[in-house]
Amino acid sequence: MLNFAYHSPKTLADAIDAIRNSGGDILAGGTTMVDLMKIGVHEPPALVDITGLADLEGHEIGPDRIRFGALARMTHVADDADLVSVAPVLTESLWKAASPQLRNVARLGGNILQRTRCPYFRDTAYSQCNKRDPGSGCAALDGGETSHHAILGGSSGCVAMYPGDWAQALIAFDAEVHTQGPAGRRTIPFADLHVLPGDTPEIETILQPGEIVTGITVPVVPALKASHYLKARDRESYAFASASAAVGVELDGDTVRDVRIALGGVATTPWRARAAEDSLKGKPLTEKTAREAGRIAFADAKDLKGSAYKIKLGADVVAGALMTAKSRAQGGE
Amino acid sequence: MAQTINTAVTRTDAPRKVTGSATYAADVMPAGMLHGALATSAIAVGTLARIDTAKAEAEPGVIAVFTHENLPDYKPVKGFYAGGPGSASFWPMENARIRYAGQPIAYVVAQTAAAARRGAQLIEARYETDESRITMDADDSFVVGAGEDREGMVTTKGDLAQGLATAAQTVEAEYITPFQHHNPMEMFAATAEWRGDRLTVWMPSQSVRTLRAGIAQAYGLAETSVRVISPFVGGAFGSKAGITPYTMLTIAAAKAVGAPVRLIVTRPQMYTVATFRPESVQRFRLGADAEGKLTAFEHIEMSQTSQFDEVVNPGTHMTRAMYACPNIHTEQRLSRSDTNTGGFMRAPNEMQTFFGLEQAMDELAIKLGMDPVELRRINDTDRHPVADVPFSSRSLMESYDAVARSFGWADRTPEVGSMTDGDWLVGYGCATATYPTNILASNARVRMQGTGLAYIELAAHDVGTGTYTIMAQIAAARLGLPVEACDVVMGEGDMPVAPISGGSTTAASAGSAVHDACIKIGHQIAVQVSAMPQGPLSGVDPAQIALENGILTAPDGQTQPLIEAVASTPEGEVEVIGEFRHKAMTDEMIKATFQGGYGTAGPVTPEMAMFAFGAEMVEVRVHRWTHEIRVPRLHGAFAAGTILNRKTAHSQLMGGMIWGIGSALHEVTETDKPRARFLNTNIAEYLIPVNADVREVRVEMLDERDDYVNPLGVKGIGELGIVGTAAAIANAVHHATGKRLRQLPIRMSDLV
Repeated sequence: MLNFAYHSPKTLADAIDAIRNSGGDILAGGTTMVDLMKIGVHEPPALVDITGLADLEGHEIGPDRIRFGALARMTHVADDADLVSVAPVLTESLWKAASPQLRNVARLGGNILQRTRCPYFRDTAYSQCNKRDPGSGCAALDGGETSHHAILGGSSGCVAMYPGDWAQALIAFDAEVHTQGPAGRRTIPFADLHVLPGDTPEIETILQPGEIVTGITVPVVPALKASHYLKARDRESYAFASASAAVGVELDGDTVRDVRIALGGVATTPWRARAAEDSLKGKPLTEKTAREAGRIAFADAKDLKGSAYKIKLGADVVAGALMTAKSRAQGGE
Repeated sequence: MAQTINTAVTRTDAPRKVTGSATYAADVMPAGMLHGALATSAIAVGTLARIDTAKAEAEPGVIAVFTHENLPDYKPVKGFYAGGPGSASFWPMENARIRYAGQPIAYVVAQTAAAARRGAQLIEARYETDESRITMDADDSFVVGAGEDREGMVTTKGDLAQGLATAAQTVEAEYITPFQHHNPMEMFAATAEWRGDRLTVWMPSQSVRTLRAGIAQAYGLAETSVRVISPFVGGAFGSKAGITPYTMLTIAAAKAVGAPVRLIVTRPQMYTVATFRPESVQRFRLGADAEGKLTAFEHIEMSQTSQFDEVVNPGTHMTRAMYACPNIHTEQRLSRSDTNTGGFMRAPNEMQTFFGLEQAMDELAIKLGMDPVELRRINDTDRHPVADVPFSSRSLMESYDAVARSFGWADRTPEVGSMTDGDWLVGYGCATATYPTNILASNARVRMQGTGLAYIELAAHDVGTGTYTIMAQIAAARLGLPVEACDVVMGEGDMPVAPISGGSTTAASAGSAVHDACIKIGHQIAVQVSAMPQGPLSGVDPAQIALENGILTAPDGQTQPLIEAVASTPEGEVEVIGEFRHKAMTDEMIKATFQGGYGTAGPVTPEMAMFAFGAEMVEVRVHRWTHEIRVPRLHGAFAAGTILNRKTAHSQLMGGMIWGIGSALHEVTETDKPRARFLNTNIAEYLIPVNADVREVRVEMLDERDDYVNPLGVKGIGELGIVGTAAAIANAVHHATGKRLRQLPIRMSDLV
């Protein structure tokens, strides 16, 4: 079988040491890591199981910031009724992710770092995958099936989709990621955590070896209360997004004071649609301006074979999400 | 004794299944058992230039690695479509040839399953790659069996051109269906154990007789030297019918290493090592006069097949039975591509073809300005339009009327987009379902004891459908016993012959054999008790003694309970073999079935056409913003002769309808065209509907009597439920949005 060393440190410092000494990877819920190990895509020499680090569990809602431990379970956070009323986008995007079984096991730190579902990445029978085997090429772009691939943020070497949902809520609301590693602690703006594939699609984040995500914070702003995550998917119960939008608005009368828009199911990384936000600021939010914002969000999209539908679908989803957020801002549902 | 037929009886095997004590093939662990794993080909077409097994062999726990270079005693069998018991005619690992992606190239045996799988991952193969194509090409199709006499592959009646020329309205369209895979919950598995030249194979099977006969023949063994054991099957749907390479490789590997070997095929490998539903293009041309009566009916079915088999599941044989029409032309065509051989998947002739036919009828109704139900009514027929024989029973319009009542069809406003609810566009659609009544020869052994217990034994299968329960019900009804007093054992190759559990045959065919055995028990006991010096039936002509609900009755009204009569015999028990042979079965059909083949006398005999019918109605909602498609309501009404068990039958029909939702909206095996591989080979991305995707599904089972099909009057219901669903949903999507979607699955991407 695939042999690997297994460590279960009791402190964060021990965990960092264990990773450094073993050259291994972090194991939390394992829903991505174990999966990739079973299919032969990822073969770390060691796993450092951090689920014993109780300090990293839980979450709390403060007046200025909402703090999530890296080991908080998706289910626990999604089910928090207080969070639903303060920041619906943060619970809705968890609820619409994965299946109940996966949400019970998966942790938030791992959730934001989940790997792509690109079938060419996940099947070692394909010799071409720059993400799995740098420099080997891209089977998807070499005539492959690309209807589920990214239309934003891709490169000539990789168009693998970032599959997550919660990350869209985080990037939309200027979340920060807190880490600890061999070089000490640092705080990273969520928008800087993931990097575009460019020529190095094997590098997905700026995290350094041994650097552990310890928590995530989200500043509380008025638009968070009138927020919404809308996910369009081919199967209602459980499917990756065909297109999704995490949005929030703060209105002054009918006029947009603050607006947040992030896109899922369409990009290689979590994706903030700033130009679309800018198009709405200071203007009334109507079906017309919402649709225009949706159009602008995809102005730079580069459709691949079979994926053109995502441009229209994504724009409609942005517009639909904004209209729900508006209704929430005005005291409706 | 309470009535047991046509009642709702809870599955007798339910406690065993929910407590985990039911033994499935992968649960058995013969002493000393080793584990197998497959390595499969990365390319579709070409040659293995080199296969390096050194790393795999060096892996701790690995006992042996077999490739085409060193596998002794591996015995291919002939493929099903060439008249044999195999799933395909091409057998990988006989040589270095690669003919489809994912074909087995090596078989690893190890002490643990993990070591075996790791060993398989460590196999290094180098290939010489040739051109390949995974999808069919409708422009490059050929008529099945051209040049040979393969009956019915082309049908012509009347003058199609004339029928089209005189039509007031015509519809001409192509409907496209994708590759689909069965994805049964239970993985493919095989465990083989040799003891000398006696072989035992445990594996989930829809045909233990086929398996035993095929293996015995391949290895030159007596059938009695081969045991095939399959008491429980965790879903099959057509995928566990034939003998596959993974089974024969496991048998060969077990022989080579001198120990029992168990293989559990991985989920991704399940997409390539057995069969699937081939993709298809259904071309229809319909013409009707102003009143809606069909004047022309043309159906050309083009479906995908492998390079080495001709997969013929003649869907035109089903569509041409549907509606009255004087001018009919049908053709059954194939197009080859580089895959393993496809096969049967739940309603293999019907799902794809009715997706086409029932949308074409909807399109025709719209052109005629008619209600789509009325178009079916005006073209309903009590004679088979081509064979020109009467239907043994046909309750199509009764089904439509029943489902229209429960669904509220009268509330439908016909204009496209005329029904909305907030941000949802609402559509109602309907479609016809039919399924042929296949009847095959079957035997069954029934032993009844004077203690009031009965044992029923036959080589039939419970593929999750409730067969154990209905066999007990059939015996209980005639013998006058409680259902729980009738112990049914099935699923072994040396039991009395029963047919393949495929084509919705088991209840009708195997059930009729059990029924016959119980009648024979009555006859035999009548002979014995009438010859006794005393007793209530002493001296009565045994031929005049009737058995009904467990009571033997003489013409003069004298009665004796069967249990008491059996107890009074010297043996205290009686054992008989029941037989089901239909007058329409030829000797060739019976022989074929006894040899493990498919000798059905249905659906069309020289006297009658035998089909079950039904109608489905569906409400679809399409969201204005997300374009998501939802199915809040799906109703069906079906008439399939006698319903043996109202609970398990309901589940079968409902399960079929839910599968139809999957076919309509979810299921597709995606393809990588440059490298000719199936892509989404896991159930995270091969979508099927789960509980949370299914809302109201209502099933109505109509009373229908059919004295021709078999003594029980049973037609099959295992596949009927899926047949109309996809077309009904497509028709409803059109009604909601005005978009006519002629390709499955229907997705948001089609509606933006």
